[in-house]
Amino acid sequence: MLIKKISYSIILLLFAGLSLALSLVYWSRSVSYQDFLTYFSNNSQVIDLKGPANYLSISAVNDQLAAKVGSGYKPFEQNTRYDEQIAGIDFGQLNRSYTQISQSQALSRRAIMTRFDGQSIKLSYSLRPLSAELNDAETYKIIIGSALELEEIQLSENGKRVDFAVGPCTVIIEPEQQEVRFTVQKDIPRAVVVSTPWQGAASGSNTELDLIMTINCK
Amino acid sequence: MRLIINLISLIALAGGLLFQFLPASGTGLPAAVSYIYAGYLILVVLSLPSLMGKVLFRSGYFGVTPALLFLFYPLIYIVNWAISQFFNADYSQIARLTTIIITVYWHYLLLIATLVDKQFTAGYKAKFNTIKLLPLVLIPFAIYVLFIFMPLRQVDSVVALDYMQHKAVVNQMAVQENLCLQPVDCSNLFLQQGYTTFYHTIYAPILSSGGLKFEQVVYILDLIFPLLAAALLFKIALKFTRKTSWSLVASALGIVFFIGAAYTTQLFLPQTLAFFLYLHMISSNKLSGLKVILGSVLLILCHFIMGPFLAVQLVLFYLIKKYYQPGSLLATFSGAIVGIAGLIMAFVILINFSGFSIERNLQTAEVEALGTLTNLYYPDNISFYLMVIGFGWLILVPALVSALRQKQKPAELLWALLTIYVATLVFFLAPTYAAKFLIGFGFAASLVLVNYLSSLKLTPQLLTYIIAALLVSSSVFIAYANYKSYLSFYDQGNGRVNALVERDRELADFLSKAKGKTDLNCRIISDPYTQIVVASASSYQTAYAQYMPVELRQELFDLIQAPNEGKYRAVVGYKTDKYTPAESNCLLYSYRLTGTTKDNEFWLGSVYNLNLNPGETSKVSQQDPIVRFMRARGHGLLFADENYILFSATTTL
Repeated sequence: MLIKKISYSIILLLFAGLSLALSLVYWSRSVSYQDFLTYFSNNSQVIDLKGPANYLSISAVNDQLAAKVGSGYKPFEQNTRYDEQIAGIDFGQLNRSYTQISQSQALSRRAIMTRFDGQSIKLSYSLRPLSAELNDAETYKIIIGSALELEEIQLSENGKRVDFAVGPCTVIIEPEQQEVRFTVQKDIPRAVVVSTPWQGAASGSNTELDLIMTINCK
Repeated sequence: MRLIINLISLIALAGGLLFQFLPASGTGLPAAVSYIYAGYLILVVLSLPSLMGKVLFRSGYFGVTPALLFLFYPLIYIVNWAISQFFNADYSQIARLTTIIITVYWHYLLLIATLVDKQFTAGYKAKFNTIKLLPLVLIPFAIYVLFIFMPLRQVDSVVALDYMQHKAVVNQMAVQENLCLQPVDCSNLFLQQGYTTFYHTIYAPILSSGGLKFEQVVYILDLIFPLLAAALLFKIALKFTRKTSWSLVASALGIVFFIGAAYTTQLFLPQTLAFFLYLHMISSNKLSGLKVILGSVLLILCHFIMGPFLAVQLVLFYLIKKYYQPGSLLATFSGAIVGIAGLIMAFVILINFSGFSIERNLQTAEVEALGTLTNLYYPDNISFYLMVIGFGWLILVPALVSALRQKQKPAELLWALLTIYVATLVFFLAPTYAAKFLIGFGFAASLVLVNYLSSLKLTPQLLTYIIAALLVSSSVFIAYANYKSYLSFYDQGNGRVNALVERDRELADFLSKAKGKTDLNCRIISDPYTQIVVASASSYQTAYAQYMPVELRQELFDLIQAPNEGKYRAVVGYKTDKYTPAESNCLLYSYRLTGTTKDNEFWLGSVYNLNLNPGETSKVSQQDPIVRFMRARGHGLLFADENYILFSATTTL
């Protein structure tokens, strides 16, 4: 009986200790070393963790779709009141990154962050017209923002993959439907315009365009 | 004991009254005095119903009766409003006088309580004397303050726009001729009808002190509110652990968990007030059918979504308490009930993983109105859910299993299990703002954990305390990280983490004193963040403040970029189904407008996007095109500094 109690105690102690250890790891990832020092020096200032102003801003011309990826906090860039539900996902090695996606209006366009592994992040978008009346091409603008220099844009048309580099990152956009066409709007620097003809949309609003965007950083 | 309490009470009353009569600024007193007074006033307002319950109704300090007595505040509002209308008196002066009366009344009730309450006299030596035990709650509170609040919160920081939004309602309640029973009755800052002004009638006396600044009150409110919640949780835990030490552990765990969107006790909002009142009801010793019905109505009045959600759980708690006994029908079939509940849970989680949610599939109209989906989806919802209590799951899982296998389950433990179950189920069913429904999760988890640890008779007992201490420490680290993540949304980019920007202060002060003193009789139109600053600082109406329609944002931005008559008329005459232009509009040119560039024009894109601080270098200039244009139109400058230029509505041309 005593042995049972002791072994039970040890197991629980290990569990509680593990809980504390893992919490410490989690906590240390959320705060910098400077924060750590600040934390124990009774300085009530929250350190501004703003790193290099690297972020990628993706938004749609029709104000429907927006996403931002980057390092450094960018408060209030998106949903102010409910951001905590959709933000705070690490961006690989830039683990102070701020990542969030503003969901689309009217459920017509969804932006879902699927997964990132190490240095890459993959965003999937499903876009479909708001209503059956919208037969005309809708235009989406992907803005590469802030301090990142857009070094190169390679474009292809008719549903083929688009690769381009942004600072240390390679951005790949893969359309999953053949109707998609990519064009460049040259008078807007650092912007790619994705033009979608929405073929067949008149028969219903369910035609979806799936875009998968992958960002790989060196 | 009684003498000491009443002496302290008398000194506090004298100090409190002195502070009330001091002018709003230039008191010359050290800042610490303001904070002490703020804490005192908040305690008075939030504990007055407890004292009323004890003295007037012979109830406990916690329970359904004190919760119902919070209706005292809406009653006061209605009486004050009637007086102001009938005698044509200044409502704000009446409200301030009411705060003084409330303070005096609180001390009077405390005096009576010390005379009539047995806990102050004969019962003082009893083991579970609430009065004797309550000061112990300062221990979990100290953990929260030392490890979460102080390192994370900057002094005088306001970390929820909601505080400003609700203050705007309080401001409007003071000036409107109509009785404001719902925020939408007197303010255009609310997209949906989410609650009555019950919350605002409690928030108003807290804000109505003469000598305190808004940010001081809110900062201290975020400190005191968890303390009161800790006391409630302590009492609930005490009912079944019967041990002070374990109840303190439950209390500490309960208040440190930070759940984004739910903000269980960290912020004082309508939903958290509903939960606070609900805890009052759960802690009740004498729950009756009538009390449950009245309590449910109160919860619904407090919050139209969280209220019914909590009311259902209250009813279930009542039924459990009444009908669940060993050998009862409910107990006999408990195994089957748990099995079915488990299957339902598994089904809900699986359909969630496959893409189903109430929000996506059944609430398209709501989503359309909000302009955004509000929930996380698989797999991010899993990580969010798990990180609510973090690695405490390592103990919670065996604790849950143990609780389910426990033969004699106290009603409070069953309540905790039910809360965890319902919160999880709703979170994965995912109606809009599903994370809000996790509001009781941390509290319930803390009770289950403590039930488990306290039931173990390990060798030696000290070991269990060590395990509990490790658990509390790990929770502190997780809560710290979660709270910090939330705070990033109020990071101004200059080291300040605050919804209030220092640069706005001068304008806010000007507008708070401007009503009725100048020719500024108009609705103020500016960028959405500036508008919420205006609405919270004054009683001026705005163009939906932070929820300014997207189209109007763009119209305004276009006007600032290249002003002309057509664009100006488009802004002041902007109209939607909901939005009717005012007869008189004052344009407020802000540093946020001039600081908007291609890199930060995000606030134009969605109704939820706001620009807190575009950078220190952005300034307005009297040479800017919009100023020249407005001057040419004959608009005078009512206020001008390097951050803002406010134009008069009327032209002199």
